[in-house]
Amino acid sequence: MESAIDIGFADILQYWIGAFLTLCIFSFLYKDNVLYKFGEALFVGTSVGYLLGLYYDQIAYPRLVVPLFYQGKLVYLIACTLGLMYLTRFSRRYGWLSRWPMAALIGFGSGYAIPYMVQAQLFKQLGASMLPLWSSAGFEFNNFLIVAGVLCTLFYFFFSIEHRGKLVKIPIRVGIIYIMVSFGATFGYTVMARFSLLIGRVNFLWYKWIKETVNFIT
Amino acid sequence: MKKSTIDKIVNINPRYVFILVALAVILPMVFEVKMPTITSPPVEALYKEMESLPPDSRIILSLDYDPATEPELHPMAEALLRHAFRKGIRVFGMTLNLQGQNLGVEVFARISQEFGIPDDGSRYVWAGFRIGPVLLQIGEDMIEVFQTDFQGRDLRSLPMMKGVRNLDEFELCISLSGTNVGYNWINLPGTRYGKKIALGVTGVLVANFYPFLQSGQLVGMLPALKGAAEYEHLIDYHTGRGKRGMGFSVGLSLCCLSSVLIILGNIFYFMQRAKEKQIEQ
Repeated sequence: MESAIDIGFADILQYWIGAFLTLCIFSFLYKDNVLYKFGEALFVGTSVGYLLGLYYDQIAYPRLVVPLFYQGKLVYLIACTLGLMYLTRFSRRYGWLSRWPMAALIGFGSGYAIPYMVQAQLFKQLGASMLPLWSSAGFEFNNFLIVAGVLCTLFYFFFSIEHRGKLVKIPIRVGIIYIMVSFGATFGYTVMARFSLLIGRVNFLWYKWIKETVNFIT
Repeated sequence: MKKSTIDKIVNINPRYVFILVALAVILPMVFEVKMPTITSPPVEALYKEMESLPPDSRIILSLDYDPATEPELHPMAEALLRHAFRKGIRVFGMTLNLQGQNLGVEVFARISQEFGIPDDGSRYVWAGFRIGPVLLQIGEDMIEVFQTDFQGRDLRSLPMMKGVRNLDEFELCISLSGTNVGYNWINLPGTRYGKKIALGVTGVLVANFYPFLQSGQLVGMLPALKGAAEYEHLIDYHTGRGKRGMGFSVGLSLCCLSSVLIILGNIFYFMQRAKEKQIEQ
């Protein structure tokens, strides 16, 4: 069964620090000020420090340092050398060496991604847009919308003929409408995504900081 | 030169808009305005898929996000875990995002504690992050890729992983992410290994993944915080972060406000343009 979790003084302190830093960042909405700069600098500093530590602790140490230096697996020297070659970017003389690991990575990445990407995102999507317009139930309006949308949008990107004349202009217009609807949906969701971040913070301020503090005191 | 009313409105101080947005979020949340939650077909499809799984079946829950998208995606993870634990479904947790590792530790520990589930590897495993072509490798040999869970326990020794070799032993893969990693889940476990895939994505990505629902490559999808709210509603959990945040009260007030602002902005923009044209003539 579900049960509540006890909140201690350490949690409350954590909420207060979080709330203070949140309000520091929000203060920028009024104008740039010292509290915002403090919050921003603290965020950048802790993020970089945290990430560096995390990368070393979770990737470099267990995947390179341990096998190479503690277990003596010399094959890891290849990966280590390739990794270090990235750093030659900082040198004008030896900068060309950084292209080798990049070439290896791009080569591997392409081979890894392209075959299944073509299969999943091209062939299957093409198959899904080849829909019957008539069925035993009659005219399939939804299918018609999908097929028309695919054809008209593709037509819009067809530049081998001049976009002139009614026969060409009408499907192009329809294609533009489909594209606009798609952009509108993406924009709407993007706005809601930004709102979600705000909601997340207000949620924290109200339910964690204020309510939990009141509960803790009373 | 004296400014006209239209100019004043078009050049309104953005702080007034900030105040309106803040009020649209804060007031419904503080006064706990209750409105019915309407669920959408992609969320219902994922819920039904989870409901159809028998107890003791295994799923993969991949938390492929970092703290920047935590407000949108963490409520989804909480809701899905609650549903899985209630139904007795075993969960293999992993992440393809290094920064998602500690978020996973937190959410698995908290939700399992709520349900009184011991961290003995019988009901869930949090394997954490692995680098490399993980999605390709887990289709061949999952144990070889991860070897240990986040705490360093040998995966072979954990009760839930007995008899598990690769993706074949998992009924469903769910990835929550704010990046394009969802495509990799569709391409590899979905297409190459034929596994059922469901995604939880941030608002920015929702429109990109809708075509995969129509083609049947996704069995369900949680679109942004709204999706989390709907899923919480379906599992009858009404105090989750999703419903508190994007329950229809806050969501509706924000939608109404942003729609009104966009419409007004356009009306005044065209009015201003018409006025400028008049002056030019």
